[in-house]
Amino acid sequence: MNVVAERALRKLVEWDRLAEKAGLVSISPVTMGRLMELQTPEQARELGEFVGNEVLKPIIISRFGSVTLDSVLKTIELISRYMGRFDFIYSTEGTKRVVTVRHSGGIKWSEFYAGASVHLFSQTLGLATNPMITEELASIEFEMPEGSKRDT
Amino acid sequence: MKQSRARTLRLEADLDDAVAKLARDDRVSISQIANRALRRYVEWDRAPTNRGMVSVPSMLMVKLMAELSGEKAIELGRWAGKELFLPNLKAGYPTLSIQKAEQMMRMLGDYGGRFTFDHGVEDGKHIFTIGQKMGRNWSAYYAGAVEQIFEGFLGKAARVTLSDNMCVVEFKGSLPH
Repeated sequence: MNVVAERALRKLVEWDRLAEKAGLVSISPVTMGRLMELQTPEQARELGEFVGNEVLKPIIISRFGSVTLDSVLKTIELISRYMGRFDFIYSTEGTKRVVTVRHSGGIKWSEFYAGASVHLFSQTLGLATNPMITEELASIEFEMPEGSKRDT
Repeated sequence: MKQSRARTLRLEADLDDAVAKLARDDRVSISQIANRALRRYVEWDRAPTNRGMVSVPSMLMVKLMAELSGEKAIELGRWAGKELFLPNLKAGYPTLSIQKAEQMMRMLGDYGGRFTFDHGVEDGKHIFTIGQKMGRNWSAYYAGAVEQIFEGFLGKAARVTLSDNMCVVEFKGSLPH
């Protein structure tokens, strides 16, 4: 009982309130898939950029106060945990960083995630990024300046 | 008033602080916050009818649907009514009935955030109203979905009227069980 209560309360304070403020709604992933299939890859990427700017950025500011690498990563982690659409992997090696979103939605969803990632990491944080997509993942690679503080 | 029972919980300190802050912000008791969170968790997050649902920004839903023709939106709704709503309803309630369908619609409305759902009776006529704010094509989508759902239960088409932010379904007679 304690575990269930803790899980339910944590979801309420960490996510549900934020989701409500950000206008998130629930839908079957199959319906979303059908709608995304009607888009061209370019439109899918533009939609990702749109969501990066109009939805994710305000969520980050509302939850963490400012858009920094740390707050962007924490937000993607939260979204991955509660939105149920993708797994989030962040790897580091020296100054190199790779952010990966793994999903099962196909190439157009990869375009979408790449669009959102490029918006956040390149256009908002000003990092020089190298995006890559496949059918089941979108990843973005960038270098942290030497001597910069740990970012997660 | 619903009967209540007392429970003692041990929470991690950071969670306890966050719950207390939420209760202060909303000017309600911690018990009310706990009831709200647990009710949502058992009625929605863990309900067999909603497994696998994902959260998406409503703005994205508007954009994705905007490119479709009205007919295509209705067609997508019909598909969703037949292939998603009814099978998911059966997953939660092995014996299907229009009352169970109404209960699921109400739950989707209360927790899903996409629409509001209302059922009233006027002069022996049942009126089901879905209110939403994502544009006419979403009204058309719901019209297609409810058309399928009602045909499945009533064996005849219900009358559907739609506007930019409403989809209204009406029929005369009693609801079959």
